[in-house]
Amino acid sequence: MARFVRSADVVARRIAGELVLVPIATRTDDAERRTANFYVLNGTGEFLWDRLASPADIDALVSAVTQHFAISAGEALGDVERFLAELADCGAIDTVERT
Amino acid sequence: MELLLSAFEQQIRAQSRRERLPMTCTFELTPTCNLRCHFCYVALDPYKGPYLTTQQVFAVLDKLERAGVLWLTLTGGEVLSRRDFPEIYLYARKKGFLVTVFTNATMMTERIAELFREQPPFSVEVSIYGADAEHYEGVTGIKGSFPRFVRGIDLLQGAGVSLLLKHPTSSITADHVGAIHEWCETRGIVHKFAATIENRHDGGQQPSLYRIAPRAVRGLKDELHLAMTGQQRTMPLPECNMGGAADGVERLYQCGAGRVAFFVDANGRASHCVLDREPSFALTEMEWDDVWEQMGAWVDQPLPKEAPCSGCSLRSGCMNCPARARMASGSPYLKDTYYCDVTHAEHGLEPAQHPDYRTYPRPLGACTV
Repeated sequence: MARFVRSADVVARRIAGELVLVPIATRTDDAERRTANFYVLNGTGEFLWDRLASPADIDALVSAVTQHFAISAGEALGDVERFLAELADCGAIDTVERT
Repeated sequence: MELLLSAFEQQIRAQSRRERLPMTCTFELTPTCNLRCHFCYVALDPYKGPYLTTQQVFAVLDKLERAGVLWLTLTGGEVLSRRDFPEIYLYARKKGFLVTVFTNATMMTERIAELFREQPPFSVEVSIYGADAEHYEGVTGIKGSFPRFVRGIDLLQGAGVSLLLKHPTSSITADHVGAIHEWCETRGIVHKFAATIENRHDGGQQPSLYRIAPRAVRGLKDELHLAMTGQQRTMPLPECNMGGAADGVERLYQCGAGRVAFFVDANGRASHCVLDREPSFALTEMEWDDVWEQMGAWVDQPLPKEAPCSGCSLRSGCMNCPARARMASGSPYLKDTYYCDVTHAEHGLEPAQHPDYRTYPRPLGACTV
């Protein structure tokens, strides 16, 4: 089973009280206004981000979520998969294959 | 459970304004430059080295990170004149700043271009002083600087950076803006024009000799707007809609200086504005919270009722500000009459009558006469 870990290409910053993921290779699409695309995590997102400091598989993440939040395993699985997909889309995680 | 993962730039910009959070910093790594532009606002005389070492720059960046700064601009002088620029740039990037680099591009090398290709900056902004050697070098005062500029732009474009060219329009190039626009268009580079020239930040007036006349500023803006958008410029002008303070108090500062943005010079002194550098605070010695609190007290002061701009109906859209006033008159409470005249011209009004603010007495004036 694949495991996931934070990418070195993203820096998590505490900005205005929020945990913001800043892709360090990001370039502005609007040179004049210097607009940016970056991401903010809510409490649950932060919880999972903490666990991605070292490689973790989906089962471990789902288990951690169900132990910490009042949520069924089925619901947690859907949320974790969606969260990982979104993190992958913005280059925030790397996949580590088990050896 | 909801897993929120969304872009939130608008939210954070609004929140920072509301709660006075330091989001943006301009960090002048060095005031020294390889060009000698006749109207440069950077004053070297009172601003001698030794400038921050690499390690001291890192320490300042650490402090900016903890303060919550997100948008960081590295500027000069000419930043590429610092041999440790690559180290500083990479350090800032790894800290999670959105790093914009201001450069004149004439010192761009294959090595820096490769660095930007491999580790791209958030954006790069370059001043363009002319579209040919005659105009460009007429501004920079350095023979051979135009081909070096062109090579630098080629390298930056080849590296695929997000690039913005900026032209400060002076009396040297007022008749040349069409050629500059064409030069940028041909290369497909986003560009913009500033129709006014700033005085030196130490109050030196030499740059003002190169300003175009207030009435010509309006004509130039009309011409540029037509060239850039294909449409006639109409009133009200976008810059006339800045709005007043929420609490109804007329503040000395109307912009984001010291509220969401601030400046750090090459000696590590922080101030609210790149042009208006007093009061300034030793960022290398003071706690950030103390710096930010004292800066806030300065920018939040009300505009004195006796100030010449108090109650002016044009003030919210006027380019005069405490920084420009201080550079022209020595006092942030007075005005740079040039900008007052520019604003009047923009509205089709006759210029106001001005006393000589450089000899204006205290308490508003800096002069003791």
